[in-house]
Amino acid sequence: MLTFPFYLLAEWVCFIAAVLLVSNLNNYLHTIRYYLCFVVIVESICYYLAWIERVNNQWLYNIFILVEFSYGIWLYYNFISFKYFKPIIIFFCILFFSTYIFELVSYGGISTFFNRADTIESVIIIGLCMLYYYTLFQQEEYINLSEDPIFWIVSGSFIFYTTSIGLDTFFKKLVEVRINHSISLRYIIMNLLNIILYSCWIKSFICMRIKQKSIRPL
Amino acid sequence: MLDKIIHMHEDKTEIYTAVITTSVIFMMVASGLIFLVIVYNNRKKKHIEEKIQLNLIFEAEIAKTQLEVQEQTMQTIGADLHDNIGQLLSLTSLTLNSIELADIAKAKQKIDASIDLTLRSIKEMRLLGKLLQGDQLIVLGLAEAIRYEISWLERSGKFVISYLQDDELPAAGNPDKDLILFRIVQEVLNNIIKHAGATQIGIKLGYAEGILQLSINDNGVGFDVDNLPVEQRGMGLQNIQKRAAIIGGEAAIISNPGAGTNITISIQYP
Repeated sequence: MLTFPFYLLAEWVCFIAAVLLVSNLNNYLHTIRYYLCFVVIVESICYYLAWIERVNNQWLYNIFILVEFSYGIWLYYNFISFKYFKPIIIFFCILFFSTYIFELVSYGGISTFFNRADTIESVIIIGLCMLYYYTLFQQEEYINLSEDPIFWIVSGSFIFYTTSIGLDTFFKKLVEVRINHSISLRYIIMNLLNIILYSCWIKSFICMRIKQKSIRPL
Repeated sequence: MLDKIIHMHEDKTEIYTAVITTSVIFMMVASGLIFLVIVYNNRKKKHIEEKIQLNLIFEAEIAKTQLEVQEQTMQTIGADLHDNIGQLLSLTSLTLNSIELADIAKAKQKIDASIDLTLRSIKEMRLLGKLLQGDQLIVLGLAEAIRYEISWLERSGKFVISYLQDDELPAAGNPDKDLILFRIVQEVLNNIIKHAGATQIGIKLGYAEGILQLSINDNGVGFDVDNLPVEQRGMGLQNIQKRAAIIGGEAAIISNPGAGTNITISIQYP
Protein backbone atom coordinates (compact mmCIF):
# COMPACT_ATOMS: atom_id res chain seq x y z
CA MET A 1 0.00 0.00 0.00
CA LEU A 2 2.77 2.43 0.99
CA THR A 3 4.62 1.79 -2.27
CA PHE A 4 1.65 2.91 -4.34
CA PRO A 5 2.69 6.11 -6.22
CA PHE A 6 0.01 8.43 -4.86
CA TYR A 7 2.03 11.40 -6.09
CA LEU A 8 1.87 10.06 -9.64
CA LEU A 9 -1.87 9.48 -9.35
CA ALA A 10 -2.29 13.06 -8.05
CA GLU A 11 -0.26 14.39 -10.98
CA TRP A 12 -2.30 12.46 -13.54
CA VAL A 13 -5.58 13.55 -11.96
CA CYS A 14 -4.35 17.15 -11.96
CA PHE A 15 -3.26 16.89 -15.61
CA ILE A 16 -6.63 15.44 -16.66
CA ALA A 17 -8.38 18.21 -14.66
CA ALA A 18 -6.23 20.80 -16.46
CA VAL A 19 -7.09 19.36 -19.88
CA LEU A 20 -10.80 19.31 -19.05
CA LEU A 21 -11.07 22.64 -17.22
CA VAL A 22 -8.35 24.92 -18.59
CA SER A 23 -8.45 24.07 -22.28
CA ASN A 24 -10.34 27.14 -23.49
CA LEU A 25 -8.42 29.78 -21.58
CA ASN A 26 -6.97 32.53 -23.72
CA ASN A 27 -4.38 33.87 -21.29
CA TYR A 28 -1.01 32.62 -20.05
CA LEU A 29 -2.67 30.22 -17.57
CA HIS A 30 -3.60 27.78 -20.34
CA THR A 31 0.10 26.84 -20.62
CA ILE A 32 -0.24 25.05 -17.28
CA ARG A 33 -1.65 21.95 -19.04
CA TYR A 34 1.48 21.67 -21.23
CA TYR A 35 3.61 21.94 -18.13
CA LEU A 36 1.54 19.27 -16.38
CA CYS A 37 1.77 17.08 -19.49
CA PHE A 38 5.55 17.33 -19.23
CA VAL A 39 5.37 16.59 -15.48
CA VAL A 40 3.30 13.41 -15.87
CA ILE A 41 5.50 12.12 -18.71
CA VAL A 42 8.71 12.69 -16.76
CA GLU A 43 7.33 11.33 -13.49
CA SER A 44 5.87 8.26 -15.21
CA ILE A 45 9.20 7.53 -16.89
CA CYS A 46 11.00 8.10 -13.58
CA TYR A 47 8.62 5.73 -11.83
CA TYR A 48 9.11 3.11 -14.55
CA LEU A 49 12.90 3.41 -14.35
CA ALA A 50 13.00 3.27 -10.56
CA TRP A 51 10.40 0.62 -9.79
CA ILE A 52 10.25 -1.58 -12.92
CA GLU A 53 13.71 -1.32 -14.46
CA ARG A 54 15.38 -0.58 -11.11
CA VAL A 55 17.83 1.85 -12.71
CA ASN A 56 18.98 5.34 -11.77
CA ASN A 57 16.46 8.03 -12.73
CA GLN A 58 18.15 11.02 -11.12
CA TRP A 59 19.46 12.37 -14.46
CA LEU A 60 15.85 12.80 -15.56
CA TYR A 61 14.98 14.70 -12.36
CA ASN A 62 17.96 16.97 -13.01
CA ILE A 63 16.49 17.86 -16.40
CA PHE A 64 13.07 18.17 -14.80
CA ILE A 65 14.13 20.76 -12.22
CA LEU A 66 15.47 22.95 -15.04
CA VAL A 67 12.04 23.03 -16.69
CA GLU A 68 10.27 23.29 -13.32
CA PHE A 69 12.33 26.33 -12.32
CA SER A 70 12.07 28.08 -15.70
CA TYR A 71 8.32 27.59 -15.96
CA GLY A 72 7.84 28.56 -12.29
CA ILE A 73 9.77 31.80 -12.77
CA TRP A 74 7.81 32.65 -15.92
CA LEU A 75 4.50 31.88 -14.19
CA TYR A 76 5.29 34.05 -11.15
CA TYR A 77 6.53 36.80 -13.43
CA ASN A 78 2.96 36.89 -14.78
CA PHE A 79 1.33 36.52 -11.36
CA ILE A 80 3.13 39.31 -9.55
CA SER A 81 3.07 42.98 -10.39
CA PHE A 82 5.87 44.50 -8.40
CA LYS A 83 7.97 47.56 -9.18
CA TYR A 84 11.41 46.00 -8.75
CA PHE A 85 10.48 42.54 -9.96
CA LYS A 86 12.78 42.33 -13.01
CA PRO A 87 16.08 42.71 -11.09
CA ILE A 88 14.80 40.21 -8.50
CA ILE A 89 14.01 37.68 -11.24
CA ILE A 90 17.43 38.20 -12.84
CA PHE A 91 19.12 37.69 -9.47
CA PHE A 92 17.13 34.49 -8.83
CA CYS A 93 17.97 33.13 -12.29
CA ILE A 94 21.68 33.81 -11.83
CA LEU A 95 21.57 32.16 -8.39
CA PHE A 96 19.81 29.03 -9.62
CA PHE A 97 21.68 28.49 -12.87
CA SER A 98 25.08 29.10 -11.28
CA THR A 99 24.26 26.50 -8.58
CA TYR A 100 23.04 24.12 -11.28
CA ILE A 101 26.21 24.54 -13.35
CA PHE A 102 28.34 24.23 -10.20
CA GLU A 103 26.72 20.87 -9.38
CA LEU A 104 26.92 19.75 -13.00
CA VAL A 105 30.67 20.40 -12.98
CA SER A 106 31.33 19.08 -9.47
CA TYR A 107 29.42 15.82 -10.07
CA GLY A 108 30.91 15.51 -13.55
CA GLY A 109 27.55 14.83 -15.18
CA ILE A 110 23.85 14.58 -14.46
CA SER A 111 23.61 11.09 -13.04
CA THR A 112 23.60 12.35 -9.41
CA PHE A 113 20.63 14.39 -8.21
CA PHE A 114 21.43 18.15 -7.99
CA ASN A 115 20.20 18.57 -4.47
CA ARG A 116 21.60 22.08 -3.91
CA ALA A 117 20.01 23.40 -7.11
CA ASP A 118 16.74 21.80 -6.02
CA THR A 119 16.99 23.46 -2.59
CA ILE A 120 17.80 26.84 -4.17
CA GLU A 121 14.80 26.41 -6.46
CA SER A 122 12.56 25.74 -3.44
CA VAL A 123 13.93 28.84 -1.66
CA ILE A 124 13.31 30.98 -4.74
CA ILE A 125 9.76 29.71 -5.22
CA ILE A 126 9.05 30.31 -1.49
CA GLY A 127 10.43 33.84 -1.89
CA LEU A 128 8.21 34.44 -4.91
CA CYS A 129 5.16 33.09 -3.06
CA MET A 130 5.87 35.49 -0.18
CA LEU A 131 6.32 38.35 -2.65
CA TYR A 132 2.92 37.45 -4.12
CA TYR A 133 1.36 37.57 -0.63
CA TYR A 134 3.09 40.91 -0.04
CA THR A 135 1.52 42.35 -3.19
CA LEU A 136 -1.85 41.03 -1.95
CA PHE A 137 -1.31 42.95 1.30
CA GLN A 138 -0.36 46.05 -0.64
CA GLN A 139 -3.21 46.22 -3.13
CA GLU A 140 -6.22 48.26 -2.12
CA GLU A 141 -8.98 46.43 -3.90
CA TYR A 142 -10.50 43.27 -2.48
CA ILE A 143 -10.09 39.90 -4.18
CA ASN A 144 -12.25 36.92 -3.23
CA LEU A 145 -9.33 34.58 -2.54
CA SER A 146 -11.45 31.44 -2.32
CA GLU A 147 -12.32 31.96 -5.99
CA ASP A 148 -8.96 33.26 -7.16
CA PRO A 149 -7.06 30.70 -9.28
CA ILE A 150 -3.67 32.36 -8.78
CA PHE A 151 -4.05 32.31 -4.99
CA TRP A 152 -4.70 28.56 -5.05
CA ILE A 153 -1.73 27.84 -7.34
CA VAL A 154 0.58 29.96 -5.18
CA SER A 155 -0.73 28.55 -1.87
CA GLY A 156 -0.38 24.94 -3.03
CA SER A 157 3.17 25.63 -4.17
CA PHE A 158 3.96 27.53 -0.96
CA ILE A 159 2.92 24.62 1.30
CA PHE A 160 4.69 22.14 -0.97
CA TYR A 161 8.04 23.93 -1.23
CA THR A 162 8.13 25.18 2.38
CA THR A 163 7.63 21.68 3.76
CA SER A 164 9.78 19.91 1.20
CA ILE A 165 12.73 22.26 1.69
CA GLY A 166 13.52 20.58 5.00
CA LEU A 167 13.43 17.23 3.27
CA ASP A 168 15.62 18.47 0.41
CA THR A 169 18.21 19.87 2.82
CA PHE A 170 18.73 16.46 4.42
CA PHE A 171 18.01 14.60 1.19
CA LYS A 172 20.99 12.27 1.34
CA LYS A 173 20.34 11.25 4.94
CA LEU A 174 16.60 10.94 4.59
CA VAL A 175 16.55 8.63 1.59
CA GLU A 176 18.39 6.17 3.80
CA VAL A 177 15.71 6.33 6.50
CA ARG A 178 13.46 3.55 5.31
CA ILE A 179 10.22 2.39 6.83
CA ASN A 180 10.61 -1.00 5.20
CA HIS A 181 13.29 -2.14 2.77
CA SER A 182 11.81 -0.50 -0.31
CA ILE A 183 10.28 2.76 0.87
CA SER A 184 11.76 5.86 2.52
CA LEU A 185 10.09 8.28 4.92
CA ARG A 186 10.88 11.09 2.47
CA TYR A 187 8.90 9.25 -0.22
CA ILE A 188 5.80 9.11 2.00
CA ILE A 189 5.99 12.78 2.99
CA MET A 190 6.58 13.81 -0.63
CA ASN A 191 3.53 11.76 -1.61
CA LEU A 192 1.44 13.68 0.90
CA LEU A 193 2.84 17.04 -0.22
CA ASN A 194 2.17 16.23 -3.86
CA ILE A 195 -1.44 15.39 -3.03
CA ILE A 196 -1.80 18.78 -1.24
CA LEU A 197 -0.07 20.65 -4.09
CA TYR A 198 -2.15 19.14 -6.87
CA SER A 199 -5.39 19.37 -4.89
CA CYS A 200 -4.80 23.13 -4.61
CA TRP A 201 -4.04 23.30 -8.34
CA ILE A 202 -7.23 21.38 -9.21
CA LYS A 203 -9.16 23.87 -7.04
CA SER A 204 -7.43 26.62 -9.03
CA PHE A 205 -8.57 25.07 -12.33
CA ILE A 206 -12.14 24.90 -11.02
CA CYS A 207 -11.90 28.61 -10.15
CA MET A 208 -10.57 29.35 -13.65
CA ARG A 209 -13.47 27.44 -15.17
CA ILE A 210 -16.04 29.28 -13.01
CA LYS A 211 -14.49 32.65 -13.90
CA GLN A 212 -14.41 31.76 -17.56
CA LYS A 213 -18.12 30.81 -17.47
CA SER A 214 -19.08 33.96 -15.59
CA ILE A 215 -17.45 36.28 -18.15
CA ARG A 216 -18.73 34.42 -21.20
CA PRO A 217 -21.43 36.51 -22.99
CA LEU A 218 -24.96 35.08 -22.94
CA MET B 1 23.98 -8.01 19.12
CA LEU B 2 20.46 -7.58 20.50
CA ASP B 3 21.58 -4.35 22.22
CA LYS B 4 22.87 -3.05 18.90
CA ILE B 5 19.58 -3.84 17.15
CA ILE B 6 17.58 -2.10 19.92
CA HIS B 7 19.91 0.91 19.75
CA MET B 8 19.50 1.13 15.95
CA HIS B 9 15.74 0.90 16.30
CA GLU B 10 15.74 3.75 18.84
CA ASP B 11 17.91 5.87 16.47
CA LYS B 12 15.47 5.25 13.63
CA THR B 13 12.48 6.22 15.79
CA GLU B 14 14.22 9.45 16.77
CA ILE B 15 14.91 10.29 13.13
CA TYR B 16 11.28 9.53 12.22
CA THR B 17 10.08 11.82 14.98
CA ALA B 18 12.50 14.59 13.99
CA VAL B 19 11.58 14.42 10.30
CA ILE B 20 7.83 14.29 10.92
CA THR B 21 7.98 17.07 13.53
CA THR B 22 10.06 19.31 11.25
CA SER B 23 7.74 18.67 8.30
CA VAL B 24 4.66 19.38 10.40
CA ILE B 25 6.20 22.62 11.75
CA PHE B 26 7.17 23.80 8.25
CA MET B 27 3.71 22.96 6.98
CA MET B 28 2.06 24.76 9.89
CA VAL B 29 4.17 27.87 9.28
CA ALA B 30 3.19 27.88 5.60
CA SER B 31 -0.49 27.26 6.38
CA GLY B 32 -0.38 29.92 9.12
CA LEU B 33 0.91 32.53 6.70
CA ILE B 34 -1.79 31.63 4.18
CA PHE B 35 -4.37 31.87 6.96
CA LEU B 36 -3.05 35.36 7.86
CA VAL B 37 -3.36 36.47 4.25
CA ILE B 38 -6.97 35.21 4.17
CA VAL B 39 -7.84 36.94 7.48
CA TYR B 40 -6.24 40.20 6.30
CA ASN B 41 -8.10 39.96 3.00
CA ASN B 42 -11.43 39.46 4.78
CA ARG B 43 -10.73 42.52 6.93
CA LYS B 44 -9.97 44.44 3.77
CA LYS B 45 -13.39 43.37 2.45
CA LYS B 46 -15.09 44.59 5.63
CA HIS B 47 -13.20 47.89 5.45
CA ILE B 48 -14.23 48.41 1.82
CA GLU B 49 -17.87 47.61 2.68
CA GLU B 50 -17.78 50.10 5.56
CA LYS B 51 -16.28 52.71 3.25
CA ILE B 52 -19.06 52.15 0.70
CA GLN B 53 -21.65 52.37 3.49
CA LEU B 54 -20.17 55.66 4.73
CA ASN B 55 -20.19 57.01 1.19
CA LEU B 56 -23.84 56.10 0.82
CA ILE B 57 -24.66 57.84 4.12
CA PHE B 58 -22.67 60.89 2.99
CA GLU B 59 -24.47 61.04 -0.35
CA ALA B 60 -27.86 60.61 1.34
CA GLU B 61 -27.00 63.42 3.75
CA ILE B 62 -25.94 65.68 0.86
CA ALA B 63 -29.24 64.99 -0.91
CA LYS B 64 -31.17 65.67 2.31
CA THR B 65 -29.25 68.90 2.88
CA GLN B 66 -29.97 70.03 -0.67
CA LEU B 67 -33.67 69.47 -0.06
CA GLU B 68 -33.53 71.36 3.22
CA VAL B 69 -31.75 74.31 1.60
CA GLN B 70 -34.45 74.38 -1.07
CA GLU B 71 -37.17 74.13 1.57
CA GLN B 72 -35.64 76.98 3.52
CA THR B 73 -35.49 79.06 0.34
CA MET B 74 -39.16 78.36 -0.36
CA GLN B 75 -40.10 79.39 3.18
CA THR B 76 -38.18 82.64 2.80
CA ILE B 77 -39.86 83.28 -0.54
CA GLY B 78 -43.29 82.49 0.90
CA ALA B 79 -42.74 84.80 3.84
CA ASP B 80 -41.41 87.56 1.62
CA LEU B 81 -44.29 87.27 -0.83
CA HIS B 82 -46.74 87.53 2.04
CA ASP B 83 -45.04 90.14 4.21
CA ASN B 84 -43.32 92.33 1.67
CA ILE B 85 -44.37 92.13 -1.94
CA GLY B 86 -47.98 91.29 -1.04
CA GLN B 87 -48.19 94.34 1.19
CA LEU B 88 -46.57 96.59 -1.40
CA LEU B 89 -48.95 95.44 -4.13
CA SER B 90 -51.99 95.80 -1.82
CA LEU B 91 -50.89 99.29 -0.99
CA THR B 92 -50.38 100.06 -4.68
CA SER B 93 -53.86 98.77 -5.42
CA LEU B 94 -55.37 100.84 -2.59
CA THR B 95 -53.52 103.97 -3.73
CA LEU B 96 -54.62 103.53 -7.33
CA ASN B 97 -58.20 102.90 -6.25
CA SER B 98 -58.28 106.06 -4.18
CA ILE B 99 -57.34 108.31 -7.10
CA GLU B 100 -59.92 110.94 -7.87
CA LEU B 101 -59.46 112.27 -11.36
CA ALA B 102 -61.19 115.57 -10.50
CA ASP B 103 -58.35 116.56 -8.20
CA ILE B 104 -55.42 116.36 -10.60
CA ALA B 105 -52.76 117.56 -8.15
CA LYS B 106 -53.70 114.88 -5.57
CA ALA B 107 -54.08 112.28 -8.30
CA LYS B 108 -50.58 113.01 -9.56
CA GLN B 109 -49.24 112.64 -6.03
CA LYS B 110 -50.98 109.27 -5.66
CA ILE B 111 -49.81 108.08 -9.08
CA ASP B 112 -46.23 108.98 -8.13
CA ALA B 113 -46.64 107.06 -4.87
CA SER B 114 -48.02 104.07 -6.82
CA ILE B 115 -45.08 104.21 -9.24
CA ASP B 116 -42.72 104.25 -6.26
CA LEU B 117 -44.51 101.27 -4.70
CA THR B 118 -44.42 99.37 -8.00
CA LEU B 119 -40.67 100.03 -8.36
CA ARG B 120 -40.10 98.76 -4.82
CA SER B 121 -42.15 95.68 -5.69
CA ILE B 122 -40.03 95.09 -8.79
CA LYS B 123 -36.88 95.46 -6.71
CA GLU B 124 -38.21 92.93 -4.20
CA MET B 125 -39.17 90.55 -7.01
CA ARG B 126 -35.64 90.76 -8.42
CA LEU B 127 -34.19 89.85 -5.03
CA LEU B 128 -36.62 86.96 -4.78
CA GLY B 129 -35.63 85.83 -8.25
CA LYS B 130 -32.04 85.59 -7.10
CA LEU B 131 -33.07 83.63 -4.04
CA LEU B 132 -35.09 81.24 -6.21
CA GLN B 133 -31.85 80.09 -7.74
CA GLY B 134 -31.33 78.39 -4.38
CA ASP B 135 -28.55 75.84 -4.89
CA GLN B 136 -26.81 78.06 -7.39
CA LEU B 137 -25.85 80.30 -4.51
CA ILE B 138 -23.41 77.59 -3.47
CA VAL B 139 -21.80 77.69 -6.90
CA LEU B 140 -20.74 81.25 -6.10
CA GLY B 141 -18.83 79.86 -3.14
CA LEU B 142 -19.57 79.48 0.56
CA ALA B 143 -18.52 83.03 1.45
CA GLU B 144 -20.87 84.57 -1.15
CA ALA B 145 -23.77 82.29 -0.19
CA ILE B 146 -23.40 83.30 3.48
CA ARG B 147 -23.20 86.96 2.48
CA TYR B 148 -26.46 86.62 0.54
CA GLU B 149 -28.18 84.83 3.44
CA ILE B 150 -27.07 87.61 5.80
CA SER B 151 -28.28 90.37 3.47
CA TRP B 152 -31.73 88.76 3.52
CA LEU B 153 -31.74 88.58 7.30
CA GLU B 154 -30.54 92.19 7.67
CA ARG B 155 -33.58 93.38 5.77
CA SER B 156 -35.78 92.43 8.72
CA GLY B 157 -34.04 95.20 10.67
CA LYS B 158 -34.12 93.12 13.85
CA PHE B 159 -30.42 92.25 13.90
CA VAL B 160 -27.08 93.96 13.64
CA ILE B 161 -24.95 91.49 11.73
CA SER B 162 -21.18 91.58 11.34
CA TYR B 163 -19.56 89.31 8.79
CA LEU B 164 -15.81 88.79 8.64
CA GLN B 165 -14.32 86.74 5.86
CA ASP B 166 -10.70 85.63 5.63
CA ASP B 167 -8.92 86.67 2.42
CA GLU B 168 -6.94 83.44 2.49
CA LEU B 169 -9.93 81.25 1.58
CA PRO B 170 -8.97 78.80 -1.19
CA ALA B 171 -10.29 79.73 -4.61
CA ALA B 172 -11.29 76.16 -5.43
CA GLY B 173 -13.73 75.06 -2.77
CA ASN B 174 -15.46 71.78 -2.08
CA PRO B 175 -19.12 71.92 -3.23
CA ASP B 176 -20.27 69.10 -0.88
CA LYS B 177 -18.64 70.68 2.17
CA ASP B 178 -19.87 74.14 1.11
CA LEU B 179 -23.44 72.86 0.91
CA ILE B 180 -23.32 71.23 4.36
CA LEU B 181 -21.69 74.33 5.92
CA PHE B 182 -24.23 76.62 4.28
CA ARG B 183 -27.05 74.48 5.68
CA ILE B 184 -25.45 74.68 9.13
CA VAL B 185 -25.35 78.47 8.82
CA GLN B 186 -29.04 78.47 7.89
CA GLU B 187 -29.86 76.19 10.81
CA VAL B 188 -27.91 78.29 13.33
CA LEU B 189 -29.49 81.50 12.06
CA ASN B 190 -32.94 79.89 12.31
CA ASN B 191 -32.19 78.93 15.92
CA ILE B 192 -31.10 82.49 16.68
CA ILE B 193 -34.26 83.94 15.13
CA LYS B 194 -36.58 81.48 16.89
CA HIS B 195 -35.02 81.02 20.33
CA ALA B 196 -32.13 83.36 21.09
CA GLY B 197 -33.85 86.75 21.28
CA ALA B 198 -30.56 88.24 20.10
CA THR B 199 -29.97 91.68 18.63
CA GLN B 200 -26.42 91.14 17.42
CA ILE B 201 -25.02 88.32 15.30
CA GLY B 202 -21.37 87.85 14.40
CA ILE B 203 -20.24 85.46 11.63
CA LYS B 204 -16.59 84.76 10.87
CA LEU B 205 -15.17 82.58 8.16
CA GLY B 206 -11.47 81.96 8.75
CA TYR B 207 -8.90 79.76 7.03
CA ALA B 208 -5.45 78.70 8.16
CA GLU B 209 -3.21 75.71 7.36
CA GLY B 210 -5.89 73.77 5.53
CA ILE B 211 -8.50 74.24 8.25
CA LEU B 212 -11.65 76.22 7.61
CA GLN B 213 -13.26 77.71 10.69
CA LEU B 214 -16.81 78.96 10.66
CA SER B 215 -17.82 80.80 13.80
CA ILE B 216 -21.30 82.16 14.57
CA ASN B 217 -22.07 84.04 17.78
CA ASP B 218 -24.99 86.00 19.16
CA ASN B 219 -25.81 88.08 22.23
CA GLY B 220 -29.04 86.20 22.95
CA VAL B 221 -30.36 84.47 26.04
CA GLY B 222 -27.99 81.53 25.72
CA PHE B 223 -28.48 78.17 27.39
CA ASP B 224 -26.70 75.64 29.56
CA VAL B 225 -25.09 73.30 27.02
CA ASP B 226 -24.44 70.49 29.52
CA ASN B 227 -27.82 70.57 31.25
CA LEU B 228 -30.16 71.23 28.40
CA PRO B 229 -33.43 69.30 29.02
CA VAL B 230 -34.07 66.51 26.52
CA GLU B 231 -37.25 68.15 25.20
CA GLN B 232 -35.36 71.43 24.58
CA ARG B 233 -32.33 69.80 23.10
CA GLY B 234 -34.07 69.81 19.74
CA MET B 235 -32.78 68.47 16.50
CA GLY B 236 -30.94 71.69 15.64
CA LEU B 237 -27.83 71.28 17.77
CA GLN B 238 -27.62 67.55 17.17
CA ASN B 239 -27.95 68.13 13.44
CA ILE B 240 -25.17 70.69 13.48
CA GLN B 241 -22.81 68.26 15.21
CA LYS B 242 -23.83 65.31 13.02
CA ARG B 243 -23.38 67.29 9.81
CA ALA B 244 -20.04 68.68 10.87
CA ALA B 245 -18.91 65.11 11.60
CA ILE B 246 -20.08 63.90 8.17
CA ILE B 247 -17.70 66.30 6.43
CA GLY B 248 -14.90 65.26 8.78
CA GLY B 249 -15.13 68.27 11.03
CA GLU B 250 -16.27 69.09 14.52
CA ALA B 251 -18.64 71.61 16.04
CA ALA B 252 -17.89 73.30 19.35
CA ILE B 253 -20.92 74.85 21.05
CA ILE B 254 -20.21 77.30 23.86
CA SER B 255 -23.14 78.90 25.62
CA ASN B 256 -24.22 80.05 29.05
CA PRO B 257 -27.57 81.37 30.24
CA GLY B 258 -27.65 85.13 29.61
CA ALA B 259 -24.27 85.17 27.90
CA GLY B 260 -25.15 84.37 24.30
CA THR B 261 -23.99 81.45 22.18
CA ASN B 262 -20.89 80.74 20.13
CA ILE B 263 -20.81 77.90 17.64
CA THR B 264 -17.52 77.10 15.89
CA ILE B 265 -17.19 74.52 13.14
CA SER B 266 -13.72 73.42 12.08
CA ILE B 267 -13.10 71.24 9.05
CA GLN B 268 -10.25 70.31 6.75
CA TYR B 269 -10.71 72.32 3.58
CA PRO B 270 -11.06 71.98 0.65
